[in-house]
Amino acid sequence: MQEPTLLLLTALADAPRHGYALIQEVAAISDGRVKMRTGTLYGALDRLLGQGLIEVAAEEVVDGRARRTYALTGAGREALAAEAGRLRAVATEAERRLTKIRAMLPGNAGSQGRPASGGGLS
Amino acid sequence: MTMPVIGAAPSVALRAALQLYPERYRRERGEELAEVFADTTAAGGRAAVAREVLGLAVYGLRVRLGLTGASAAGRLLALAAPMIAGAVVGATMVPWLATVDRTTRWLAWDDSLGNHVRAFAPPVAALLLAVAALLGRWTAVRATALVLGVIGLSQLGEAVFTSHFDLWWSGYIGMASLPFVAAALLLVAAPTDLLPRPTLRTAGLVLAAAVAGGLLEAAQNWDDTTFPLDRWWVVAMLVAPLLLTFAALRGRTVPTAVGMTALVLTGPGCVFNIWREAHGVSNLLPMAVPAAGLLVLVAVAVHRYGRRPAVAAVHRTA
Repeated sequence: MQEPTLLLLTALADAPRHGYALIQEVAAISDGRVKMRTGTLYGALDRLLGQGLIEVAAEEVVDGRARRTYALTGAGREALAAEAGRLRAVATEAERRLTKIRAMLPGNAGSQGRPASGGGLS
Repeated sequence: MTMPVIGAAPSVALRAALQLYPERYRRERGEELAEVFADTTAAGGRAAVAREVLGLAVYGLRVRLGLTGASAAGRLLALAAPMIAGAVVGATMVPWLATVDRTTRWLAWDDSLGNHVRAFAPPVAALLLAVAALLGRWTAVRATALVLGVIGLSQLGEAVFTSHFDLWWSGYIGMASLPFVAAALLLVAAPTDLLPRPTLRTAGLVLAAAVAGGLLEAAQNWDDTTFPLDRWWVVAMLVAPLLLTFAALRGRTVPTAVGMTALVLTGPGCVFNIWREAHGVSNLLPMAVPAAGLLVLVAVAVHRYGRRPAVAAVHRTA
């Protein structure tokens, strides 16, 4: 799953949101690193709508302005959960390996010296 | 919500950008796009407004041309992008390496800066393109592919707009330069949100396509102006990839992407050589019309053959 897709699905995970709220949420979730433009956002929304991962939750007029809110579908929730699980497994494994190598580094309590050839971060 | 900050100009620009969308899309989403645009540009300066307008305009063109991430054509182009990028690298480097001696003599005869740029710009751009493709930097891939495309276009322009126009010479230059123009356009047209991440699989695909592209270029022997084209080569180089693209009619994108990538490299050369061997359009037509008819029949057959499982699948799920 591409990062913008993951971020959009995550932004919709807890509540339906409209276009500008999604741009703000994506920026917040990514700590300001990903700033979606309007064209990019609607490209991704159209694709996710086509894939059945999101749906239009409501079309309303707020203060005289058109506003369409989007929500995750069941398939979207499943896809996000699967991707989150995959990322969690990778992160856990990365942490495990880093912890192992840190323990072996000189100066650490319980250091076991240099890792054997072929071991460690393979 | 507030409107953009720099007066009427953004509204004019926004309206112009929205005009690029198909009427139906604009009717359904135009107001919503305008609202989000107003919010995103409310606190931004001219640069932010310009970026937003450009983004909206580009997506409008994509929607109009059917090249979004949601379309089959968009998915196909994104799938083919690493192959096209690799093929361009191979197709640039192989002829350049094969003619290094001649290039060296040419530079010894005229060592002007312009000649050095002509000699070294294509391989340098191709190598940069290779690195960018391997790293998954698709903006850089597109930029370098565009450089190669512009070089190809300028070579073709020189051939066409010369004082003594020669169709044969223009075709000859065209068969070497048009693949790079086509490749650049296809890479630019691929939807950004579907372009692959820099994984080992993508890198392998780029490298394999570079080797295949180099081999295809070498097999075409385009640098030899005297060789008579063997008709079986046309089958291999033109008809075979063309038939692969028919897989799209059955919804199979991988063979279609392979066929399309091969056609980018072989299409112009094959068409030129067929025209050359036929000695003119009048001789070509009696051969080309039945061949085109046969291909259409094959396409229709593939389409009908391919629809049956889909219908069956619908019945199964109903």
